[in-house]
Amino acid sequence: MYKKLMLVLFMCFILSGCYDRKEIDDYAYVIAIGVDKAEGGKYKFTASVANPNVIGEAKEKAEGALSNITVEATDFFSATEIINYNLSKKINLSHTNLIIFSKSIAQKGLKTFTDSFVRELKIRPATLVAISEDATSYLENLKPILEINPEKYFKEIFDEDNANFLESATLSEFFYATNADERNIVLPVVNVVDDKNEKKDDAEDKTYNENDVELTKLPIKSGNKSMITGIAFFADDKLISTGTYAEDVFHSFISKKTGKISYTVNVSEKNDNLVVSMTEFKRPKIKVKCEKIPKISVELFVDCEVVYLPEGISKSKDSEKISKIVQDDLNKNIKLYLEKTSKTLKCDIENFSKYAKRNFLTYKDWQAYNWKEKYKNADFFVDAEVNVVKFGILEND
Amino acid sequence: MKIASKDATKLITILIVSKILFSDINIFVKGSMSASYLEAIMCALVSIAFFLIISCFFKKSKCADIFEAIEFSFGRKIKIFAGTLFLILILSYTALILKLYTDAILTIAYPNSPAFFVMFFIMLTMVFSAYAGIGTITKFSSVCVSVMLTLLAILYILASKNIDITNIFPVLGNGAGNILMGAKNIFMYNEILFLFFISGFLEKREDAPKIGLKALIYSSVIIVVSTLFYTLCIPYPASKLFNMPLLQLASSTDVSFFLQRSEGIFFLLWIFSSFLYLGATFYFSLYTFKRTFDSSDIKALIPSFIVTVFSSTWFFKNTKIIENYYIIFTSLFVIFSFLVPLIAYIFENIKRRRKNV
Repeated sequence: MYKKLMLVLFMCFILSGCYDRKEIDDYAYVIAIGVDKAEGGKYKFTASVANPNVIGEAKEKAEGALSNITVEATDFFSATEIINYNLSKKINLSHTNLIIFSKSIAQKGLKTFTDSFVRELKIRPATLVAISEDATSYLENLKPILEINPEKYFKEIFDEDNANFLESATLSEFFYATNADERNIVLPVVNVVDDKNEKKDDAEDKTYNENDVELTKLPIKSGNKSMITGIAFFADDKLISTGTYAEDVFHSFISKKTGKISYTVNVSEKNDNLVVSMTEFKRPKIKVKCEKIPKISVELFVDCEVVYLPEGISKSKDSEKISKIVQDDLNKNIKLYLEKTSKTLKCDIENFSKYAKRNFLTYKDWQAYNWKEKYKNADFFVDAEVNVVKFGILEND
Repeated sequence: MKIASKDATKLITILIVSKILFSDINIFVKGSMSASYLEAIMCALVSIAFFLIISCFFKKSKCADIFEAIEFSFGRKIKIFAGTLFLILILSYTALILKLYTDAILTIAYPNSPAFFVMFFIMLTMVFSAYAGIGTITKFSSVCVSVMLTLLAILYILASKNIDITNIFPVLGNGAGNILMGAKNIFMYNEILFLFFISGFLEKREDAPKIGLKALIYSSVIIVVSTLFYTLCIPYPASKLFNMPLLQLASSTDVSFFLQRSEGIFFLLWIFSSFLYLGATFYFSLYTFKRTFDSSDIKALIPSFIVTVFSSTWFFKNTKIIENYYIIFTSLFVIFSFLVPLIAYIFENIKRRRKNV
């Protein structure tokens, strides 16, 4: 009896595992990583490290909540070794929320970086990935307002519930896309905005409609100059183009990642704009027929609430006519967007290949069809079913 | 000491299912691509069919276990020869699996710890299992099964957020031929051999075929469901790149602020699995020696066997060597798991009929 008791006590003692203990504040938690190109085949790595002492104090502004350290190295893990010489605490990557790559690196390909991040268990597969003109500048100008905890800031700003339409992609999603056949991905673009931008409201710049704006050209005044400014289209692991606000909306519609979107439609030659708040009440129906020329049909199911009726319009239009206006606008512009992906970008951005694969029994047949080439000549049929549900709390006048 | 049928079923089930913690699911993915779950089903059906053929003769056997059947059928010398071969195989296989389990947990949880440190704890369990005997192992397994199944279910529920039904297209993956070739992967069910070891300890020996069938059905359901979930959550060809598919599923968990990364579930599964699997296989290696050489006691051999197993782990220096030997050992194991019992029980049956005549 005593022997058993002594054995149990002994095991409790040796299994308590406090020999190599590390307290929470023995680590420096990297919240975001920026990767820019440097000279001589090296890269500039910026690690945004959270300062738990500042986060713990209740302050209005989160000044000093993030400390940025930038080093040049051949790879990120060598950079962390160098950063450890600067910090008194050991780098911990388990709370990394965001990895930002510069455009110049993204255009050459991100596979080697993402493969190494996925291989390293310390970085979460759910870490977000984004693109920026200058990743270091984005992180240095980042001053979250209304939020002290930087990790929470990154989580919330990319949260689907927070922004009504926002493309976000995780490290694992990017890895799967770059290692999967005929699968592509869209990443968010983050940049530093300038309140001195002089916006040119030139109709020639607009491919689609009133929603077709580039946020980087808008003057935006804010305490936090770093923000999400658009989307980036990738073919495999290479950046091919960036998208506008309107393209972000259309992409979100097709991939069913929308909450409630405010959508502006021009209704007359006098530039009267109708604004509706749209939600997708059902997943889009996508059908792909793999013939000599692929035929892709996209059916969208949209509920609308009118939030802005311009003067003079409300008396002459009723809900059916407003539905028709919005429907025609969506059909025309989404088709334009899809044709751009096919003819200009030459890349299946919306991953219609997932639906096309259903037409084949085996991988051999699928690969023989050569979807990448066939997509460049695809025909699109867009049918948005738009239903104006209400006019807010005001009567339909 | 008698083992209840339910406990025996659970033991064999856990021993078979432990493979899903490693890269064995990937064998189906690499073979049949998006139709990996179909290949897993094919493999299960073939294993069950094989076992049903063996159990036709096994039912009629009056020998306590496989060793007695071999001795009855072919004589003592053949029994010693076969037993010795199997003993070498099982000791080497145990060393390889010990190395695999150790490397897995070092990668996940203890990157800075020496391998011996982790191996030491597992070897302690192996020694304890050997001293405690098969009764304790089966009792422990009957408790572990419900815990492990619950953990697996939680893992799948958490990973279900990543399910994309389009990942199973094209439906036939790499072709019907490759799905049918899934039959060659019956090494997934090698551990059914241990049923023929413990048949002498069962409360009702006549229940042994039912125990085997149930264990194969339960384990095949778990393996097929795991393969299906993995295929649905991670698209091909990215899915063939991961060494530990279940770990990847666990890492992908992201349920708002509350639950991110459920590698802890994988870690718990690993603990239960490693202790049970290695404890059981170590016990069966001692049992093999005892029955091969008609030894009266196995406890005296425990220290020398554990040292042999530990020393053998030094042969497996890197991943490439481990992979190569894993293929060799599992292929040889298939012979002992399916062919040897089939031949032994057929010949026993023939000999008994001749004697009766």
